[in-house]
Amino acid sequence: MTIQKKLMISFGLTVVMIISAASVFLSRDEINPLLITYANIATVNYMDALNDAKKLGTKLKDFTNNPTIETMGNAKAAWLNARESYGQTEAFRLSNGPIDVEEGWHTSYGAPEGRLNAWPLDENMIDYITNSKGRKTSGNIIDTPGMFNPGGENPLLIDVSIITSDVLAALNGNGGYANVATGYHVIEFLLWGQDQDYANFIKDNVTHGALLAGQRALTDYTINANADRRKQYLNAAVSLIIADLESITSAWADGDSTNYKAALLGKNSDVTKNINAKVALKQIFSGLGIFIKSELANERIAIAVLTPSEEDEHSCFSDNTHRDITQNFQGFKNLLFGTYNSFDYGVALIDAMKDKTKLMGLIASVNTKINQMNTLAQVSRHFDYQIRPNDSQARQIKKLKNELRAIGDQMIYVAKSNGIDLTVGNIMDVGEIKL
Amino acid sequence: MRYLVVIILFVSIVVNAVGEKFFNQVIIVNIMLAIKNVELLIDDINQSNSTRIKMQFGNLVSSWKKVETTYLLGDLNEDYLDIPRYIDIFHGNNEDIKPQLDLIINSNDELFNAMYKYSHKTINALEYILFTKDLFHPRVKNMALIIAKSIKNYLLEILDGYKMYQSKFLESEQYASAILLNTLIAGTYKLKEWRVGDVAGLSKKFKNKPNNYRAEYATSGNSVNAIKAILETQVQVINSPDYQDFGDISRQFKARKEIDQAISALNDSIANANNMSEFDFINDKGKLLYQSTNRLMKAYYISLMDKLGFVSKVLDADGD
Repeated sequence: MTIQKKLMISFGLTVVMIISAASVFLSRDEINPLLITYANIATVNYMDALNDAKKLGTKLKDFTNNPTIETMGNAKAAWLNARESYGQTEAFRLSNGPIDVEEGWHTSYGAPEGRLNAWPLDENMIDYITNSKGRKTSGNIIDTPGMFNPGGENPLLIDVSIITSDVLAALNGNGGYANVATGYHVIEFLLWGQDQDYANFIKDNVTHGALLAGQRALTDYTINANADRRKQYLNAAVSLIIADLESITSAWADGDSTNYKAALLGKNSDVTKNINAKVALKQIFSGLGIFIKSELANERIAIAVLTPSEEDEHSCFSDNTHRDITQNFQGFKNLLFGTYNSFDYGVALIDAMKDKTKLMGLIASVNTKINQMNTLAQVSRHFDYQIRPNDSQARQIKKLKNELRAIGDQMIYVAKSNGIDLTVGNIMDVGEIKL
Repeated sequence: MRYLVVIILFVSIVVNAVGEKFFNQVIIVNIMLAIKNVELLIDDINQSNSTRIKMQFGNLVSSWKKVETTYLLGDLNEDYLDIPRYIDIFHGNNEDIKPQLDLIINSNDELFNAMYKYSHKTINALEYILFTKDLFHPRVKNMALIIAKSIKNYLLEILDGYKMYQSKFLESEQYASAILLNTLIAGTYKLKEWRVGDVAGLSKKFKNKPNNYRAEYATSGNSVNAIKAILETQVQVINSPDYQDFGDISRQFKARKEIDQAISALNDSIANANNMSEFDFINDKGKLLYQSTNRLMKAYYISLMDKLGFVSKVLDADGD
C-alpha cells in the first residue's frame, strides 16, 4: 500500500431508492446474525490459513534440510497452496479488525498484515537480482553476514549475522515501506527468484516464456556460498508468518470470552471492549468496499495493467497473480453471501437487499473474466503476458478492474439494505495510488 | 496532513440540461481542434522544423487541456475511463519518466518494444523529447513521432467515443448535468491545488515550498498557457452567449447569485492568469491566481451545487 496520500474528489450518482432496512439490530442480549456469520467465517478461514502456513513451514524445513529439485518443488507447491486460503482472508482487511487495525485494544494482536503480505518488495535488498544493466547485484541481506544497512529514510543498522524471525521483523519497513523483509512474497522470491527483465519486461530476457515463472537455481541452496543463509532466511520468514497467523487465529477463536471475536459479537467479558453492532457492521461494509475497490481493483490490477508493469503484479516471482485475484474476490464473495468452501454459515450481508439484479450481474461478469484469466494463465500465458498492451486480454482485465470498482460502489446499497449508511468516501482508501 | 475529501451525492436534480449545441460546439469542436493540432505537430516533426515544433506543441497543450477540462466520456462508457492517462500523466503517475526515456534513447532496442509503457507515449514524454533532446538524432525523431502518433490515435478514439455516446449524454438531462458539474468541480480542484497551489507553495502538500519547476509544463514553458486553456473552457461551459450553457440553466433555477459568483471568480482567474508569466507562480501573481481559483472551486461545489439540488458532504480525511 502506498504511503503517498492523495486527495480525491469523487461523486456518486444515486437514484431515489426505496430500500427497506432489515431488522438487523436486535435487543441487547441477542447477537446480530450478520456478525455471527462474518465472525464464524473468519474463524475457519484464518484457521485454514494457519494450517496451510504450517504445512509450508514443514516443506521449507524438508527443502532446507535436503535441497533437491523434488523438495524445492514441494516447497513451491506448499507456498502456492498457502496462498489459496490466505488470499481469501484478505477480505477481512480494512475493517478495523485485528489483521490491520491501527488503534484500539485489538492492536495487541500485532496488526501483522504488513509483515505477512507486504508488496511490492525491493527484492534487491533481500538477495541478488540481475538489474536493468544486466549486472548481478550485491550488498543485500543474504550476502552481508554482519551489520546491514537497509537504506532509505533514517534506517537502523541491523545485525544480520544470523537471520532469525526477530532480525527480519526488525528489518521489515526499516528505512521505508519498500524495505520488505518478511512475508509470503519474500519466501516466493527466495524460492522462485526473479521473473522479469528489469530493463524491459516485454523482452523477457530472464525467463524467456509466457508460462515460465522465476527460475532460481537449486545451486543457490546447495553449492552457492550463501546457501546456508538462504536456508536461514526461509525458515525464519515462515516462522514469523506462522506466529503472526497464530496471533490472528487466537483473535477469532471460539470459546475465548476475552478475544476480538467475543468483542465483535458483544460478548467480551470486559464489556468496555465490546463493539457496537452498528459500528461493527459499518466497519465491515466499509472495509469490504475499500478492499474490492481501492485495494483489489486499483492497487493490484489497475496499476499493473494500466502502466503496464510486471513489478506491480502481486505474485510476480511465481506468476501466481491470477490466483491472488481469484482468491481475493472469493474472500469478498464469502462474506457477501455468508459461505465458505461451499458451506452456508447463516444470514448473509446480501440477504436483505431487495433488488440484487445489478450487483449479481456485476458478480457474474467478474466471475467470467476471472475464469478466463485463470484458464489463459494455465494454458497459454501468465498474468504478466495478459497485461501487455498488445494482448487482447489487457482490455478484458481493464474491464475486470472497472467492474470490481462498480461492485465496490454497490456496497453502499448492500449496507443501506442492512440499515447502515455509507458514503462514497467510506468505500475509498484516500491513500490509494492515483491513476 | 489532512485534506478535504469532497463527497457529492447527486440525489435529484430537475433542470433542463445543456444540450446538443453545447455538445457539438464545445465537446466535439475541442477534440477536433486537438486532433488538428497534433497532426500539424507530426508534420513539423517530420520536417524537423524546430521553431514550428515548439510553437505547435504549445497549441497542442492548449487544445488538449480543453478536451481534458470537459472529459466526461468515461462517465458515458467506462471503456473510455482510462484514455486520458494514456495521453497525460501529470500528477497521476509515480514514475519518473525522464531517466526511462534517456535509457531508451541510449539503448539499441527496437522502439516498439522499448517504449512499451503508456507513460512513454504521453504529452509529458513528448515535451521532454521535443524540448531537451536533439531532434536531428534519428532515434529521437522517431520517438517523437511515435509519441505524437499515439496521442493522435487516442484523440481519435475519444472523438469516436463521443460520437458514439452523444445520445447517452443528451438523453438524460439529469445525468448530463450531474457529470458535467462534477467534471467542472474535479477539474477546478486540480487546477487550484495541483497546477497552481503545488507550484506556488500554497497547497497543503508543498506549503511554503514554492518551486516554479513544479509547474505542469515547466520544461517547455507552457504551464500558464495550459491554465488559460482550462479557464477558457470553463467559460465555454458556464458563460457562453452562443448556446444554452450551464450558467443559463443555473439562472433558470434560481441560482443567479451563485452562478454570477462563479463567473466572477472565473473572470478574475482569467485576468490573473493573463497577467502572469511562467515564472510568476512563486510571487504575488501566483498567490492571486490561487485565491481566485479557490473562489471558483467554492462557488461550484458549495454554492452552485447546493442550489441546484445536489447534496454535498465535506469529510475530513487523511491525505498527504
